[in-house]
Order: sequence, then C-alpha cells, then structure tokens
Amino acid sequence: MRFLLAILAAAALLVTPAAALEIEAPEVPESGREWMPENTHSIAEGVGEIFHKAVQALRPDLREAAQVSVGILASVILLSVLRLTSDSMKQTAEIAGTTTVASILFLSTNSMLHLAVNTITEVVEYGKLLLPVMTAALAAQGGITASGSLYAGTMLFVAVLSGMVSHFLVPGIYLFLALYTGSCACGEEMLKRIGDLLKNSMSWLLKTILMIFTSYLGLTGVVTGTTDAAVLKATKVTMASFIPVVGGVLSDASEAVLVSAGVMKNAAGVYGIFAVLALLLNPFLRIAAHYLILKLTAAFCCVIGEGRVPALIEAFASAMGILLGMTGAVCVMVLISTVCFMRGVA
Amino acid sequence: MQLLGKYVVSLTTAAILCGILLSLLKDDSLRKLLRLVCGIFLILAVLEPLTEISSSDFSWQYSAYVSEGRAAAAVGEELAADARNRIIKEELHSYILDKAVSTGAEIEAELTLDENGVPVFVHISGKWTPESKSDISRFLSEELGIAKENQQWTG
Repeated sequence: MRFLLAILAAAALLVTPAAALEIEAPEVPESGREWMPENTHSIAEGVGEIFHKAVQALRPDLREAAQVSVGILASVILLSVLRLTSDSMKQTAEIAGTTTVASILFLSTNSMLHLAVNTITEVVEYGKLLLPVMTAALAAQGGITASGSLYAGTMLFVAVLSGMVSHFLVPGIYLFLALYTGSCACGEEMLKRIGDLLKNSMSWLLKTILMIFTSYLGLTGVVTGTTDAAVLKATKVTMASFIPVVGGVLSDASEAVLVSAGVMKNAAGVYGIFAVLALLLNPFLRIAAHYLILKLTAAFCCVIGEGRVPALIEAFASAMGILLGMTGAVCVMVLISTVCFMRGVA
Repeated sequence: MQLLGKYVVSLTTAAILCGILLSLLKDDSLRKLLRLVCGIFLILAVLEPLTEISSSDFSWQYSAYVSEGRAAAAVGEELAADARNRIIKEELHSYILDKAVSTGAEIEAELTLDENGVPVFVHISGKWTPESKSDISRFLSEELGIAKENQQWTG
C-alpha cells in the first residue's frame, strides 16, 4: 500500500510541462527538517552545514554522558575503597558494584538503543519513499533494467537488515549486556565467552550484509548498465533510420527528456542524501559521543579500579559500538543505492 | 518487547543462580560436575528463543521487490515517453503550421503518434485552397511519413 502511495506521489510529481520532466524527492520527515541545510545545491556545503548543526546540538548529550561517567567513576572508587577495607566483603562488593554500574549504564544504553531503532525506522521509511522516485527517474533516463534491479536489491537488503535489527541485533545487544553483567557479577568466564560469541556474530553479520550488498550493487551496475547503454544506442540507431525530419525531431525530443530526467534525478538524489543525513547525523553523533565517553571511562576505571567492573564498562561501550554499526549500516545502504541511482546509465 | 524482557530476566536469573551455586561449593570434584551441568543449562537457556523463530518473521520476498521495482521503472518510462511525445507533437505542429503559412493556408493540425513517437495520423482543420492542400499533403507524406489515407481534412 505504502509503495503504491509512493508510486502515485512520484507520478504526481512527474506530471509536468512538455519541455522537461520534474522529479522531486519526497520531503524530509518532521524530525529531520531542522537539520536540513539551507543550501541544497552543493553537496559539500550541505553536508558541512548538517554536520555543523548536529555537532552544535551535541552539548546536552555530552553533559549527560559525562554525568553518567562521573557516576560510574564514583562507584568504582567506592568499590575499590570497600575492597581495601575488608577482604571478606570482596565478593559482595563485586556483585553490588557490578549491579550498580550496570543499572547506571543500562539507562543511557537503553535510551541510545531506542534512539538508534527510531533512526533506523525513519531512514528505512524515508528510503521506501525515495527509492521509487529514484527508480522512476533512472528509468526515465533510459536505465530501465538498472533501475529495477537496483530498487529490488536495495529494498531486499534494507528489509533483511531491518529484520535482523529487530529480530536479532536489538535482542542480541540486551542479551550480550545481560551475559556480561552476569559474568562480571559472578565471575563466571563461560557467560563472558557466550557474550563475546554473540558480539562477534553481531558485528560479523553487519559486515557480511554490507559486503554482500556492495558486491551486489557493483555487479548489477556493470551488467545492467551495459544492457541499458546498448538499448539506448540501439534506439538512437533506429531513430536515425527514420525519415529525416521525424528522425531529427524524435532524436532531439528524446535527448531533451534524457537530459532533463538526468538533471532532475540528480537534484532529487542530492536532496535525498541530505534528507538521510539530516535524519542520521545527529542521532549517530549522540551515540558516538556516548560510545567515546564510555571508552574513556573504561580506560580511567582500569587505572583507578580493579576487578571486573572495567570489563563491564568495556562491554557497554562495545554494545554502543554495535548500535553505531547497525545505524550506520542501514543509512549507508540507502545512501550508496541513492548514489548508484544518481550515477545512472554509463 | 515483553517477550524479550522475560527472556533477559530468565537468562540473568539462571546465570546468577549458577554463579551462586558454584560459589557455594568448595569441593573441587563436585564443583567441576556442577560447572558442567550449569554450562549445559545456560547454553539451553541462551538457545531456547531460537526454536521459536518462524519463517514468517523473516518474510523478505525478493520477487515482490522485483515487481515493485519494475512497476516504478514502468512509471518512469511512461512519463518519459509522455514528455517526449508532447515535445514531438509541439515541434511537428509548428513545423506543419509554418508550411501551411508558406502555402497561404490557415489550418490547425492534430497529430497522433505511435508508441515510438512517430506520427501516424493527422487531423487538419481550417481554410485552404486545393493547391495549398496538395502541397501540405505532399509535405506530410514525404517529410513526415504520414500516408495520405491517414490524413483527415475537415474544411
């Protein structure tokens, strides 16, 4: 249904005066509107503007992450003092310390996880509107085979990845944190091993899906691009065989449509890229800030504390890293496919 | 989300229980046995949700995406053809009117194109002399390739 609406929207956008086709990317959703650049004509300036706005808005998150970090450091110091004062309290202190640090970290990790999932959902939904427009635009420019294959491939991989996010990666991150919390509280090495296995499978999965996706795009681009270029060439040859006047008019009209479709497709693609970045960049930088501060906190904890708590903080930082990876992977897929659509027929 | 919460809680409880049991035992041989039992129990607890995943959870229908892609491409192709045909009609229309003016006729032409954008039929209305009609008709068939039987004249 959503696809049909997108097609209808694309069709409505494409109903235009005779001189040219008018193709517009769907408008950026409400949440990304404030991050959109003023200048949407230059990629470099536009991306710079979005990045600048996103960095400027990071301050509250940095403060929040720093507060979490200070809380953890205080807990670790307290834990170290407890350990020094009494040997009999060692195990209890370890469990209590781990639980305290885990509950502090879980709150911020949970909010970052929700932020990542929301960002992925928004980017995927926007991609579902943008890709049909780009497909229609590329087909109008002569890339009929390429556009269909690019669309089908991108939608499949985006669906696979978003399915993986909701069915495997999000539960996997919670599970990984639970396993590490259990391992650090009880000192059970086996739980840590299972957690590591889970973490490695998650990052392997992300890398593999991205690798297969880029390989698919590369192969599709070469094969379908050649087919479309051959069809375009054959059409030109056929036109030349028509009666001179009609052939000339036909050739000029086709050229005008191809050129205007190309210009419009690129403008829609650039807007689409800005829209995806506007949806992505701020949440991505927020998660990245939390990730870096957690890494820093883990390093400080290794210096001032001992025991299993630094490993737990490191595990939470790894979870943030996986969050960054999965958010980035979905957005990169939509961005790469948009660029492939923009590249057009060779 | 509820299921996930239940899963995490049950797994954490299982892990903590195993940890407590292991820390209570001092005897090394018994401890090794319990460790093995706990390990199997934990692996089963971790893998349990995998048995509940059904194929409908991962309903990625490639053929549906292929059809959607083809439909979107067909929309683009059709719109490009419409735009191209509009340009061709405008160009040929002004071409025919220029010719008509040079022969002294005052006409209006309505062209029909085939799927490749080639003119196949023309409807001419207005005022003309027999000479100018003959000139324009010849022009239409020789220059534009519209056969005489496909030229409709309404005076």
